[in-house]
Parts: sequence; structure tokens; C-alpha cells
Amino acid sequence: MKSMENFFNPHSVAIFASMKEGKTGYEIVKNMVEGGFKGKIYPISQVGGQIFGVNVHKDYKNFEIDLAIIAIPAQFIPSLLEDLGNKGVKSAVIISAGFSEVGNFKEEKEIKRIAKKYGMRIIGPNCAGIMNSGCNLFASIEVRALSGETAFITQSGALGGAVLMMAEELGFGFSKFVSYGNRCDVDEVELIRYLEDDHQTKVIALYIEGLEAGRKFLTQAKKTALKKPMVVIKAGKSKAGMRATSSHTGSLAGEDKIYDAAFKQAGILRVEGVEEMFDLCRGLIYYPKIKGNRIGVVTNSGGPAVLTTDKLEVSGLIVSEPSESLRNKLKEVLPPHVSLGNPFDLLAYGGAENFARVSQAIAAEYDAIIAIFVPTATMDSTGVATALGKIKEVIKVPIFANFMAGRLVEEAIRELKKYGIPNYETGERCAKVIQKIYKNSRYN
Amino acid sequence: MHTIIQKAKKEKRSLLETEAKELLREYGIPVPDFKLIKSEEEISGLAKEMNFPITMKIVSPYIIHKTDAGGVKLNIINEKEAISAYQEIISKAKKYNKKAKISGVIVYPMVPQGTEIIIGMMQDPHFGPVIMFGLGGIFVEVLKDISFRILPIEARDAEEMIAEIKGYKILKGIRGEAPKDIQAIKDLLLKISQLSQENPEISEIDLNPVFVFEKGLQVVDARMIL
Repeated sequence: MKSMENFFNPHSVAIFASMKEGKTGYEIVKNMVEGGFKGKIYPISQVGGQIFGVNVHKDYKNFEIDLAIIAIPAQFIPSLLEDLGNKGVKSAVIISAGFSEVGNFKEEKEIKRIAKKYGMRIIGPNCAGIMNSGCNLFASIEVRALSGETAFITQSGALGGAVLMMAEELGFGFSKFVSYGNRCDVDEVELIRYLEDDHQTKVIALYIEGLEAGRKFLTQAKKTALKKPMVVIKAGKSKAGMRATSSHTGSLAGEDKIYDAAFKQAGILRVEGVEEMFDLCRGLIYYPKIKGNRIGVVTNSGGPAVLTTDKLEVSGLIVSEPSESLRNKLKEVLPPHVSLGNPFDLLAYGGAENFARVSQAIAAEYDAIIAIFVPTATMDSTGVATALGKIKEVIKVPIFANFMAGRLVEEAIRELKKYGIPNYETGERCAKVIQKIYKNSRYN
Repeated sequence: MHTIIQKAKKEKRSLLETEAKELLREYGIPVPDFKLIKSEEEISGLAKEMNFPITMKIVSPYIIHKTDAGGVKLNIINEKEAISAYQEIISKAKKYNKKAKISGVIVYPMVPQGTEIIIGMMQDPHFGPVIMFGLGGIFVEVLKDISFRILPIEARDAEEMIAEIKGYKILKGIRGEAPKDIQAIKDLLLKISQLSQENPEISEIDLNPVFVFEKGLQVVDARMIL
């Protein structure tokens, strides 16, 4: 795995690209420097000079290079790879396009052949680069990822860039980011194998358009999913009509159905799109498993609680009634008029103390709690967040929050995050996340 | 390699229905008793071996669409009818395809109508052998209410793929009907998984239909392609 270490934890990175302002090399060096990479940065280009306080070198013969980032025109890449191979460089990310994606299969085969000759590993070509927020490595043209616990590996560089932008707005961070493009060498299988043991990564998210080695992927993913949750977006282009078949079964098998089956067997959570991916990853980071389907809803507002309950129930989760003894316990700690059934509606008594009391009391009978809070003139939402955060540390039952809405609860949401409580804009989204995690937890 | 497969391979053809059913039987999969009849004479005395009414079907590697070839006769109630059905099937088959080598006619007792299911196996270009499950008739044809898994499967996969189709409710019994034998379907899926693993020469399987009862099931028709 030395080569994989070189990709993610290099001591020195050489960037082969145009260093003119606005060009790929310039942007990468900018990301590397501004991102605070601690190792050596060697921009390589014939123009020389300096950018972002770093010397641009014409020659790299005397440098020891752990990782080469390549964004020069495709036709010059084979000879560069020969040079780098001779120098003993073991890892290269090829950002340049112009290979199999435009029909240049021979050219792609050639770079693969050269790399193999020297025992060099390649990510790409035709990709957006890689990042490791753990060591401030931002070898990419895309916006720098915030630090986080989700690794994101994507076949599409453009989608990868869009996800990073959206994540930045959400304040969602990544441990690693890999855009692997045409995957001429390093593929999803190797990446998830590496991430399986990466202690910074708690959740692995993937965007896949198609797998070349489906069976290999399934075998590895089955193993990886036992250690950490995996979430996948699979672009569902149907190629059903294309397969040669003579059986009835064959005529019924759409490509997407087969992928769906494979993900289920591997214990991978499939989501429809980016938004759902974020929602799920935010939950999985804190709660990789939910052991049962009994959900307790604590709220200070009736409407949102009803919507949430409806969604929970159509999702196959149970908004079960509390036992007689729990009811009695609640009666002791709560003011009169407060609902002793599930959802537990605290009405105007929904302050920090009561949210904490109810959550603690019901924890023994529920597998997850959704706390819904709509601020009123007299209620301090941040105080409720803190109280829930403190109780979460005591009760060991996953708490999901639905503090609504907008800037009214901005500070409270930050507070929740501090304690590892994910907040969703609606209770329905909480329900969807809980349902997915629960369903997957039954096996892993 | 299994001798049945070896023979078919040598003759450059897929398995005959009789061979496919023999293979299924070896794996402990329930198929109705059957016999391959090669001449009219073999029909006399059949009633002693087999309960009438029976089904009769053409067996020929050259005739895949048996109904189109006039090669299927149902509800034959006695030997006399069986003889004329045999003659008709053979003559129609010869007309349908003059060069077709005819192996004979398969006969088996009519299976009482159960809930129809379909089980299949095929090769996926990325994942290799996969297994399919669905309810028969319109559920498969129109609603495409089917589930897949990559082979081999475990008990949990078999359970899931049965439960995940929309028609699962029908198997569990609707409107006061008794539930169908879901355990038997699970066993069948697992046995097809094993059969496919142990006989990689088989590239596709269609078990269509399979009748499921309150207790047990019967694979009524089977096709295996090499």
C-alpha cells in the first residue's frame, strides 16, 4: 500500500502543468499553498519564476517526488511518465483529458503500460484530482474540502466539484476526496480497500457511473461495509436492451436492477442524489447503526410532529406508545397537560429542561429519538440544543434534530453539531435517514 | 463436468427439458414425474406408471417455442388420447421445422394450479451469474415486479429477494387465503444458486412456471442454456 500512502500522505508533490494565471497548474499550486500543505511543493514549468511564494522549477531531476500531479497536454504524458518512472516516482494523478473518454483507447493503454513497467500507480486520467484534508493536501483544481469524516470518491470530476461546493455551503467536510476519472489503473475497489482502514474516514461515499469489475467490487464492498457504512449514488443509465441474451430472465434484467441487487448484497446504502447523500452521511458519521425501529418523537410543536410521524410510519418505522411505567415516570417529571403519548408534545413547556428530561426518560424504550423544536418568543433554541447535546452523552440512543427554521436556529444547529447531533430541515428528512440506517443495520 | 452437460456440449446444443429436469431432480428440486416417450408403442401401459390427466410436450433442441410449433397438449385424460396427441405433436413438429431432430415427447402428470412464480439465472457482463425471482404472469410481463441478486446467494439474500417484490403480499396470502410455502421458494433459490455454481457451463436458466402451494412447490417447465 506504499503507493496509496504516497497518494494521500506524500512528503513532496510535483505539479506538472501550466503555471500561468488561471491555468490548471496555477490553481492547483494555489490550493496546495493556501490549503497549508506541510510537505514540499514543486511546481514544474518552463516559464520559471514564482507563484504564491513558491519557486517554479524548470527541472526536477534533483527533487525527490512522492506524488506527481500531471495536467499537461495528453500527447506529452508518455515521455513524462518514462522520466518519472526512471526517477522512481511511484504515484501519479493525471488530470489531463484526451484519453479513452474521447475514444483514445490506445493512448490510455500506453500510459498504463509505462506505469506498469515502473511499478507506478495512476489515478485518472481525465479527473479532478485528490485531497486529504488530514494533511492539507489539496491536489486539485476544485474548491478545497473542509475537514470532515466522510471520504468521497467520484467517477465524475464535474460532479465532484459540484459536491465540494455544495458541501462548503452546508459546512460539510471530507476526510478524503478522490476523482478517479477514467480509472485506467487505481479503481474503486482499491480506493475503498484503502479507506476501510483510514482512521480519519467514518463513512465512504461514492458516485459511480459504471463498474468494470463488478464482482471484485462486490467482494471488497461486502468486507468494507462491515467496518464502515458506505453510501453510493449510481447514475442509472439503462442499457437493458444491449445485452445478448436468449432467456426470458435475460430479457427482464435491466442494468440498474443488477446494480441495485449488488449494493443490497454488499450492504451499501444507495441514494438517489447528492442531497440525500449529504443527509445520510451526516447521520452515519454519528450513528452508523440504529438497532431497532421504535422511534420516539419529542416536540414543542404539533404540526411538524404529525408530518414526521406520518413519514416514519410509511417508512416502516414504528412511533410506538410508551409503556405504562414510562407514562407514570413522565407524569412525575412533566407539567400537567403535556402529552404522555408518542409524539411527546411539550406544548408551551418545551424548554431545555423538559426536552432533556423526556429524552432521557424515553431512551430506554426507543431505538432513536427525533427532537423537533420550533423557537417561540420565550424559548432559547440554543439552550435546547445544549441540553440535548448533554443528554445524548448520557443516553446512548441516537438523537436526530429538526430545529426549524432558517436563521432563527442557525446558532442552535451549530451547537447541536458540536455534540454530534445532526439537524435536518424537516422531520421527514430525519425519518428517511433513520429508515435507511436502520434497514442497513439489520445485517452489518 | 456433469455427464448431461457433457453430452449436450458434444452435440452442440442446450439441455433438453428432460435433461434440465433431471438435473433439477438431482439437486432435490421438486419436478413432476416425467418420462420421455420416443414411440407410440411406449404409451400403452403409461397409465400404470403415471396419473392421468397428463401434459405432453415436444422435446427437440431445434424447437424452443413449443406452443408455436403445436408441440404442447394439456389435459390428456387417457392413453387413447395420448396416442393421437403424440401423433399430432410429432407431425406438427416435422412440419414446423423439417430438419429438426426430434428427441421425443415428454409426458408428465398435470400439476394442480398453484401460485405461479418464475426463477431465472443469467450472466451479467459486469457481475457474472445473477439470479432472478418474480411472480408469474402479468406480474413479470407487465409490472416487471422482479428482484435480482448476484450469485452465489446466502439465505438472507434469498429471504430479501422474495420479500422485496410488491407481489410478496400474494405469497403471504391475501383475503383470507392461506400463505404459500415461502420456505420452499427460499430453498429453491438457494439450490439454483448451488446448481449454477457447480455447473458453470450453464449460462442461463428459466424455471417458468413454478407452482407454489401451501405446502411445497413444483417446477413445471425448465430451460437451461449452455
